[in-house]
Amino acid sequence: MNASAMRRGSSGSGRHVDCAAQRMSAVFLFDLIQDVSVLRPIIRTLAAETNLSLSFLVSHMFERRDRAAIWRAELGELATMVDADIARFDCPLAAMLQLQGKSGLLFSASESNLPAHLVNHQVFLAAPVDFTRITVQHGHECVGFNQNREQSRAHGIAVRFAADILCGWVPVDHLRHLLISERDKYYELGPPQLLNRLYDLSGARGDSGVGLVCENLHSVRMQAAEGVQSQYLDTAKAFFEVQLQRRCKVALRPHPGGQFVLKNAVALPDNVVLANKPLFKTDLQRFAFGISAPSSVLIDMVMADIPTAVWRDVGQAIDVSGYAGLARVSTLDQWLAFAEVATRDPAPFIALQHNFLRRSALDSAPEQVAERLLRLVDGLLMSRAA
Amino acid sequence: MLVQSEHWLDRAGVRIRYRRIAPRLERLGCELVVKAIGSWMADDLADMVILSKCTDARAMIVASELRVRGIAVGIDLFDDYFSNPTSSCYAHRQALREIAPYIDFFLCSTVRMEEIGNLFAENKPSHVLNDPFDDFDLAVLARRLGEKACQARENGRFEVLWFGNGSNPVFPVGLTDLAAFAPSLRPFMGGPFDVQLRVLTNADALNAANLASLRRLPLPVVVERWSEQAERDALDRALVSFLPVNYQNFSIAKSLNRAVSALTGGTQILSTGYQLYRELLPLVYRDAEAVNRDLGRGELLLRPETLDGFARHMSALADPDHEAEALLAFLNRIQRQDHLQLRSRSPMRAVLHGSRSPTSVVAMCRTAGWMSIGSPFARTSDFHDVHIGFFEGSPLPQCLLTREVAGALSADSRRGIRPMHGGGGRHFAFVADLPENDAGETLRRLRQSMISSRAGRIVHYARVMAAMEAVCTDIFGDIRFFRSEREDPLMGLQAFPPHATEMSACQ
Repeated sequence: MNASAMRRGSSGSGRHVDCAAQRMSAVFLFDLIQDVSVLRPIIRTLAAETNLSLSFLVSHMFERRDRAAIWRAELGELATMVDADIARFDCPLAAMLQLQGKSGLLFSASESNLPAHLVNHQVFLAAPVDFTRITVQHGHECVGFNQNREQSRAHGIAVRFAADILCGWVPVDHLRHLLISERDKYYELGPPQLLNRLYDLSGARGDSGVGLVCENLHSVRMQAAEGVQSQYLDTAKAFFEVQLQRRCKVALRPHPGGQFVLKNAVALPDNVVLANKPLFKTDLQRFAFGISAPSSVLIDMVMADIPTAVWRDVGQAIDVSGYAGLARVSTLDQWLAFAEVATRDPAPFIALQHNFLRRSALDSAPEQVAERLLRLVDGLLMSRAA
Repeated sequence: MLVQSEHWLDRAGVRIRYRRIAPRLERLGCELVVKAIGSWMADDLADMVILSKCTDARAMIVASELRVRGIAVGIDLFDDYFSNPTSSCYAHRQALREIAPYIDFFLCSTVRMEEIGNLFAENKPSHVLNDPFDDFDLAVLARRLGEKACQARENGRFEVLWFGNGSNPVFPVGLTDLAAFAPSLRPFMGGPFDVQLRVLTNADALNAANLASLRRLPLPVVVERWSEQAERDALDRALVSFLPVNYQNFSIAKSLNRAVSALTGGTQILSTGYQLYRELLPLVYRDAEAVNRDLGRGELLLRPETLDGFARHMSALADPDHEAEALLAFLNRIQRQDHLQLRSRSPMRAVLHGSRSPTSVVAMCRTAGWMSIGSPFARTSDFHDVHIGFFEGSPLPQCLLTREVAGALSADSRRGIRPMHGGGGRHFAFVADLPENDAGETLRRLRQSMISSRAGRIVHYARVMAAMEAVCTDIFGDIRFFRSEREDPLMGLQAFPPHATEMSACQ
């Protein structure tokens, strides 16, 4: 099969690949909630640009984690949008039997030899040899790619993958935790969420005047020291109270997988609006500013060009080195000062953020990420056909 | 025939070894009933009982009870969990060692298994019951063999089948063998024919690690869950069955049943590794290259022209009629010998429960009227008649008795026993003092923390269980104990030499 012929629209070849003996598949594994956000832009790109047959394999754990049934609805909507099949699996064998008889590419955004990624890791191990297995980096700080101190403490520094290809966000020399034995698998894709810009329109910047506070209180990062978690929560709540007195609304975004404030029924003042929609359906540019503890959502806010501050605990236990160069806040006063200055004059913050993206090699253009993705897919399918 | 549980009634062993000869035995006037040991009742009518892979203490209870009733008891040995002293099959070996004196004969799947039985009970009568073949029609077989070879040559492609149990809890077999011997399939790769490998096995063997090993096979692989129908279909479709055999004791003691199924199902056999199927050698390929060559020439080993020889082999090695007749002749000899050797029912019999004793053993104690004794290793949630253990957080072991057991004691024995006031749940009514002797002292010194880890249990097990037996004998008089233990390696542990015990006591 001619891999370039897989492209829809390229060279005007369209869907003529359907004449080939067997249509190649791209299969996507969904186990963790956050897999949806990471894989969705890749799926949309492949749907738009290739003739690959698309399938979603959803683990039985995914639905258990998705208590509010938000994400299965997202998957259903996405499947309809891109004409993909959805199948469930409850063990590696069930997944393997779904793959057997097909060939192509198998994607996961949560695959490594760590216990939290066991489901997809085992599917990768069990997958038929007719599939090339691709693990996509799922965050700016990501186990096995670039880890923060808390991740290294919790998971060690010898994270391995069953994947044949590792798609990362930055050039390989920017990675501090990719094992030497994994380096030959590495492919610089760029941050996949940039691909959303090719398909989703965004509104005017800062027109809502509302700030966005993000919580990832469930995260291992919050275990950096005793009291770090409560410090963030207390400071955020105090910030909300002051904003309430000022009659200002604040948006609060719980981490999609963690959902700490909801699971723990944290009492919030009336001026707090939950922003619990998936990030790809949240127009970040509408917010006046963003504050978060170290988390990949910071990168999303930075890329959306809103003034962004990274929170660090007062005792400086939490590792923020992955976000060096961004504005930092710790105390309530610093939160308030940042919110005020950033709303009034965002430009200096945006300039800092552009520098940060450039230094971190995260300044890829969406078209560049799409081109790399399609080049990778073409290459893999070509080698498979050969 | 008693098997371990209902679940085992559908296992290959039962299906192949018993169900195939049952109708033949019936024609000879012998009814063969296969049931789970848990459903055995003391008043079950049978002239003879054979225990098949019943490895827990229920087998001891049944064997002992049946012997008392003059019913001959045998064990069917058809998997070698016994001969390798370094394998982690302590419970299997110890169970066989303990039950051997209570049984009348061994039924064995192979001559090698017969030799292994002899290691545990010398001169015990034994009989080799070959795994019989399933019904097959020579004319149909001839037609399918001809068709398959013809299609393979015409289409330039054929299928190789690996089928069977894919894993074992103790030994690396099944899919491990397939992966290990896969290089012998290389001549099929890039040879004159396109070859696909079908793997047909039980779902629980198809875990991630085993599936990962299939990725490394040199042929395109199709994986399928095993069922009887799937096996029939796969054999009908495949040209060749691949039967690799490794060299470990467990594997070399296996019967010919997979080869017999493969041949009667209409496939060639390619077997590499240990020559388990040497008796079928004229019909067995040892290298894949020869299959390619013979297929090209139209001279596969098993073909319509060679079926006479095949039929002779099957008749000699696996004919169910012949096997049924030979089995019945053997069993008749056993019956005549042992009917006269009735045994008395004294002393009292008891099961001493260890760390992992199945609840079903406790239930069978009740069925058979045996005393159930819990050791400090046993769960306190199982309702034993006597239990020396740590109840409700007590730091010291207590000896608790039910009202029924206490009531059956002699007046002399009841002196150290007093009614309970709280503790031990509602099940127990009396508490007994541990005797003032070495055994009592051993138990008094025991603490929960000493045996809460596996290492601790290994260190203290033999000494504590011996003390349990001594203390219970002290309280209840003469008892014949049988131990119930599923945690490896506890069942196989011997007590420390006496001087070692003394040294530890001095310290």
